[in-house]
Amino acid sequence: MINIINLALEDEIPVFDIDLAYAVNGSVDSPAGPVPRLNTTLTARDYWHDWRARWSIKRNHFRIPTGLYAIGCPDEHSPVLVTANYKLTLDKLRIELGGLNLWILVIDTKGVNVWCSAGKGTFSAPQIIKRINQSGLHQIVSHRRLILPQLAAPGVASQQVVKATGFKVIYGPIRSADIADFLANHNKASAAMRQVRFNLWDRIILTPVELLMAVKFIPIILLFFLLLNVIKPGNASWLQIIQTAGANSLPYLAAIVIGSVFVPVMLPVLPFKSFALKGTLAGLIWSGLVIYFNHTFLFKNLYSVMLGNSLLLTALIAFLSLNFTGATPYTSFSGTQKETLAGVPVMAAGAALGIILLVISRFGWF
Amino acid sequence: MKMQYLKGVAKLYYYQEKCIHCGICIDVCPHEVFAWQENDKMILQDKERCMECGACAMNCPVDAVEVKPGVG
Repeated sequence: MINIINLALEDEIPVFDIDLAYAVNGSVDSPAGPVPRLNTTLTARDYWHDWRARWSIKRNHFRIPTGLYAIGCPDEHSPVLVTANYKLTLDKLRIELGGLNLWILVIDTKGVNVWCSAGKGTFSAPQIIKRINQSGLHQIVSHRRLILPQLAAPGVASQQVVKATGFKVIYGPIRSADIADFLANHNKASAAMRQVRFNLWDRIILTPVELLMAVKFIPIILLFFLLLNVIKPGNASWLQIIQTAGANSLPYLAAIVIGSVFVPVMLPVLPFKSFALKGTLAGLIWSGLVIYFNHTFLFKNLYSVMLGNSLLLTALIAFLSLNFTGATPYTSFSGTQKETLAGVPVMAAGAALGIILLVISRFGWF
Repeated sequence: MKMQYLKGVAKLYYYQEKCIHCGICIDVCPHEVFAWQENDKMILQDKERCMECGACAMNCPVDAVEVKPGVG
């Protein structure tokens, strides 16, 4: 079984066919040789690996061998779908194809999903042309039509594909769940199938990666409060200093969760169109709560402490919120650039002022 | 739910005089920026929803659409 997949192994990149071996269920004969057939159900191991990918574990090594695969018992008249060689993408596709007979052409997108690889230019016309020729697709099917995911369109100059290979590009629906309906409807997508969505669940599944990217601030925060509490420690013992530093850091750990999970999840509810402003609002509300409960976090009752922490917390949450523009399906580059150029200097200045105020607060002047 | 991002920033240009009204941009756009008008004519329906993905420009056979993110 694994040997069959090795036939299609990409030469220059390491491909982990072990990820796909248990998704293969025999092979289908074709004029160009045997084609591995994929299961349309996922095993517990697939779910486990897909879940790991959502948490960024081995996400960058989640590639599958390129080439042609079969679903069911396809023949020369069966449709040909084209997709990316990211395992999570292929899994999302094949579970929707139960009961259908078709071909899937997996192209080399360096293990990146359809939309992102199209944006990067790896899901491209030259790559599709290369894989059509390598797979012997001309001998395998008698028609000359390819169905591409709609979100591949930013990377694929469809006229180039038809010129080079004779295969006409048809853009299918955005979501794999609509493919069966699309095929049944003579390759016509409804308006709803063509619209990208960003509902609650779509946002929730993105938050683990956001959270993991934000976690890198934690050691910096802990170290900062440790150093801060060492300035004029009075007669505090080392244990007390460590305790205070830990308690002081807690609102910041919460701020990381607010910026990377709460704001993305609450995106449509929070006012403003700008992500930086959404984050600033969330930051100010959280700062208010932290000031109200300042004793819990062992903060001193000083204006400099309250103001300094408010500035730092708000800057952190606003920054993480702005970062989420990179993960949404509706923010334009020009818009993100605009709010980054305007917002980041303000956040940096706010954070710097916050640090200065906290340092000053150690002297207990105000 | 339709979410709207910052207004007046998208660098999307539609040259109607070049357009052959083939409709590929309507097919590829994930945000209904383009639409059919009566008589099978293409219009730029809602430029503010453009996220500059570039799908329309990439697939337009006559270069009637241009997307230049981050320019100017």
